[in-house]
Amino acid sequence: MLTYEKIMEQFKVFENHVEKYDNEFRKANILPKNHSWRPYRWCSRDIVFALIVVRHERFRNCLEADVCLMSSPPQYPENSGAKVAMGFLLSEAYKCGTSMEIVFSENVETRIEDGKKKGRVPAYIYDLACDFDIKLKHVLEGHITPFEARQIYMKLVGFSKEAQEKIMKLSVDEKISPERACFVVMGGIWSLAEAESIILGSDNPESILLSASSPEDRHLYLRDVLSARGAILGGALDRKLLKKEIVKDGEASESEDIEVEMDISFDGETYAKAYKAIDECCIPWTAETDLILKPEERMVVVVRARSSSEIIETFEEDLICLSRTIEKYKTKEPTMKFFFLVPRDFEEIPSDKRIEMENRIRELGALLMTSPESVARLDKEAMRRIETGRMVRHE
Amino acid sequence: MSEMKTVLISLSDEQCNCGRVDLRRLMAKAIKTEQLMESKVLIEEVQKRYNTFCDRIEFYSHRLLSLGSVDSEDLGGNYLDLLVKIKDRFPEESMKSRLTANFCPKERMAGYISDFESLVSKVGISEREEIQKKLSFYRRALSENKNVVELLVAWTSIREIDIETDTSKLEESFLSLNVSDNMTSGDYGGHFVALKNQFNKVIDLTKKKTHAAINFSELRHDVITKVIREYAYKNGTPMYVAVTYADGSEASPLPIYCLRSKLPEQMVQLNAQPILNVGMMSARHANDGLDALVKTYWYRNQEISIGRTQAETDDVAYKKSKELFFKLRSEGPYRIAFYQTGFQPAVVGFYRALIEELIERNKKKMPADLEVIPYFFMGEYIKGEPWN
Repeated sequence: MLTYEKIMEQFKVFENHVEKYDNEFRKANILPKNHSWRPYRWCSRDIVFALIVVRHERFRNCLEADVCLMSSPPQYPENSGAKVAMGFLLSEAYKCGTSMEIVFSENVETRIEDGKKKGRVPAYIYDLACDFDIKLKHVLEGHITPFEARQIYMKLVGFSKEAQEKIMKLSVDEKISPERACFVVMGGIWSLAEAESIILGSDNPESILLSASSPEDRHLYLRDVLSARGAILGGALDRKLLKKEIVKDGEASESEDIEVEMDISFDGETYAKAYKAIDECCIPWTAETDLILKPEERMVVVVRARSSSEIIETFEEDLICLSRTIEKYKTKEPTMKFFFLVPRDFEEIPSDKRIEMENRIRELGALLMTSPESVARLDKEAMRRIETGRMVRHE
Repeated sequence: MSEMKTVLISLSDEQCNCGRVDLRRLMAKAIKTEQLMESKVLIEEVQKRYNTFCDRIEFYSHRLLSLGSVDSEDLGGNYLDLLVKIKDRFPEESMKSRLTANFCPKERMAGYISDFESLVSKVGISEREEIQKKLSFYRRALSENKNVVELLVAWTSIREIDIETDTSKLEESFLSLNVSDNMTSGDYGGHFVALKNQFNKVIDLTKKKTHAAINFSELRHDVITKVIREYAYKNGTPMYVAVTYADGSEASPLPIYCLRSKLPEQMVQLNAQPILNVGMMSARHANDGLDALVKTYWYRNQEISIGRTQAETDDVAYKKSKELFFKLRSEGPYRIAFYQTGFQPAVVGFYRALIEELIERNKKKMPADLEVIPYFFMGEYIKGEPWN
């Protein structure tokens, strides 16, 4: 824990940076370059998690932090400030094209040694690394090496064990760097659950995560778009399930920042998502409006992001897959609920055919789930994400 | 893991007519758009248009397939991997023969079949079942005067996931992956390594007559200059490497392995000359005192920084520099301190012209009469290695 004086020292440095930044950039209406000192404040409502000042140090090709103050608010998970700070530092280091080395200047948790001011890796970050079981070797020199950064980044993103193994395999085969896989999640291109669907559910995840195919190669591009489409449809269901409904003065609204707690995992073999409720939540998009997933209950959703023609074309194959999925999970947990998720395009199918399909799904012991998203919208979003991924560093 | 299979369907001209939409017209428009994409001009807009055409062709073709009214052939889940294999080995030919396109109109059928046959035989996969199925389907379509659409169907059969039994071995290999590490290696990582790797890879592929280009976008201008210099002065058989930018535009190739360092005695006369301070481009870094430091600017900002592709900017910078170097020849020896302030296409254009100028001057085997010493703006100006 830093002393009051040490915190005030860093506040002073932070204030100086803010003042300089205001004069050089904000007031002059100029955007800073990566190599300019840039102050950041990370908050949620009125709680500050981290105050950070960084720049890309171009000669060493590392990310340099001149201020790195963090807090660990008791109402949030342990060491939240360090998680926020490291998430930002590592993503910024990647985005700026650095070697991923992070250097803390002499202003960070300063000490005097041999008459010289020296900085160090902040104690909160050191604690976080210890929690992750990662040994930092240059704490007192104020360095996090690219090797250490890689491991922290992987832990911080929170990939499942299966996804971590797949990323390791892809990295060892030189198909994608682990930093890239982490950045697409931390940089907001794909949510963690969507990235897991891509990593575990696609046979060419590197092409999607690297945005490697271009529209000129229609087949390869479409292969990526289709995989991305499935991930986004699954992601839309995640978001819907996680939304917490707040009832105030008899009116229900969705909370903007409080989410329902839920474990989400992905089964790459059947392309299905498995959910385990921690808080109670409503199951959306089915014909039965009052379906609830109670705490500790599980459900499995087979995701098929198909257009109406594709649904008709592949329905028999999809039923076989659904039936195998039910067989696989039902033996482990007989109370498990099952769903078959399709986009809104399902409604374009003639009604008699639709009813027949719904009945056949029901006969297997599952329910049809129709998302309000259409294939056209999902594809547009998939292309946007692939395009966004193209704009960020590739290595 | 679920499979992505490829299904071929053949359509007569009558079947292409889906009410308000005629697939034949969509195909013609898509082919026109493919030609436009080659120029790389306004590429994002053209790509969007191409996506729309392809999407519509696929949508209506899926509809026909779901009605069961068309001939079809299932190529299974491995066909796309074969396609990638061909494309990786022969990118130019694959592009010319429209290998990765999703449709083939009947007029192009004969040409497509012969190109495809030649490609698969060069890759050595002509005997594969998928290839045989595809070729016989296309031949049948040709004889029946039909068009072909290739559709992708995702999440079809279930494919078992390979489960890594020994994860500790994988973890070990992962942890021993090389990382560029200043703490232990002490050399430059990141951009330097990345650009040198790019050069090596592109040189290698160019020698194998495979098209590849170096992308200079988003790289530091000092890194670009230093790495270009290294390869220009390196020993080797002179050659050209292609240049591209992040907007997809392709610039003129860059000569490498073509300059030799001067001997000290060749430099005596030139070293006695005064140095002329020249800024790279006007109206940049004036607030850092560059206007006061330099006598003139090489480029006028107005001439260089106008809305066009980066390759076009590179070309303008190159031509302007060629013109200026040519003019300098008649004015006697010059030693130029070149105050460089970034802007990748202008930097690449300048050094391409400088290399060609030095090659020309060196042919005369006269004492050196031109030297450019770069000064890189990195907050302050840092001197680089001279070019002479």
